[in-house]
Amino acid sequence: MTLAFRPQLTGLPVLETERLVLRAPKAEDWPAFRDYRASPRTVYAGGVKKEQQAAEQFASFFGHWVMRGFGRLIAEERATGQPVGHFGPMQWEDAGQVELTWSLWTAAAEGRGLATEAARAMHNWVFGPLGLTSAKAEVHRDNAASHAIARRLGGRLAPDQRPVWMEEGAIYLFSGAAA
Amino acid sequence: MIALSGIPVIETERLRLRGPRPSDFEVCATFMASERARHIGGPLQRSIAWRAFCHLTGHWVHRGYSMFIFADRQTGEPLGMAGPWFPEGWPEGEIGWSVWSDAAEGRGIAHEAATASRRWAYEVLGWKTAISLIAEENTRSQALAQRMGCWPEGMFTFDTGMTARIWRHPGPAEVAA
Repeated sequence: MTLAFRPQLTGLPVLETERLVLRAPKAEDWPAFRDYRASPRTVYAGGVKKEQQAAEQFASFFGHWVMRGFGRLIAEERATGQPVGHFGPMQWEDAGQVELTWSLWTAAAEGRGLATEAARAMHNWVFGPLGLTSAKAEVHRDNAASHAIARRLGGRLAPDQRPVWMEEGAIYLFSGAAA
Repeated sequence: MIALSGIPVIETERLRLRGPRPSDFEVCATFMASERARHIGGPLQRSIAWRAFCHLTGHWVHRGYSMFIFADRQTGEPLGMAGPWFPEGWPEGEIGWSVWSDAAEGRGIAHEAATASRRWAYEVLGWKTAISLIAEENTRSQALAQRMGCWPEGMFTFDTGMTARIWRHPGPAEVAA
């Protein structure tokens, strides 16, 4: 049935890159996110999640925007119109440091520099219009692709810090410089 | 201005049912951290409550509906939440409710909010059936369910291991009659 109302996020930025549009998450992104969350691609991001947990995480994307005024954007490939991943700052704890996150949802999106392209746009928005002055990223020891992105964004490894939830992880610190 | 837009407002005699706002969180978190939340998996620490509130908010976009926050029409004070709730893994669409403070109890406002939101789920969302999941020790909510014409069915086990009784609501035709 068609409803007379449509709950949605409004007022979010749209970031345009050569091959991608980073835009507000929407309900229609759910199947692609669910499939990503059920795939082995999540090995460095907390592992495979049951559909119920994946749905909570997905819903939290929207709630996070409302609560904090920032959050994850969905990268859509211009050529296909398909969502290929999520990119954005996240802050679960009121006093916690903002974390930059990036994830490509499918293997088909890999190997073409899309993650770097999206992460760079996200980073420039975070330290530009959004006005943050520091952030971190948490990267699994074996996630070589993400280590490369963190370095390209100007991240500095914090050798003495470990992510709370990921013992085998490293923390990069960002200040907005050199990206 | 970043906002959650497109959420309808329902007015009842004493209440305004509306979408969640960031400013509701403090009241909700106080409830979640209290003994009052023991029937819904609490007391919950603040960071968990924050995620739960994000989930409640995001459910509006993901599903197109969620629980409303109900506020005093006169003062605007948020008093609790009520409405359709259907996360992944739920056995069926639920009409949920929570009253956030002791002070809001005993005046029939949960009944007012839950009844209005059930009618909305039937009339606007087109739900054909509805249930409420209520912990066996939660006698207050059981009494409200009975007052709304519900009857007990089997038990449901959440993925957390918690269990709840399924209370079935009378259908749209019976409620409208």
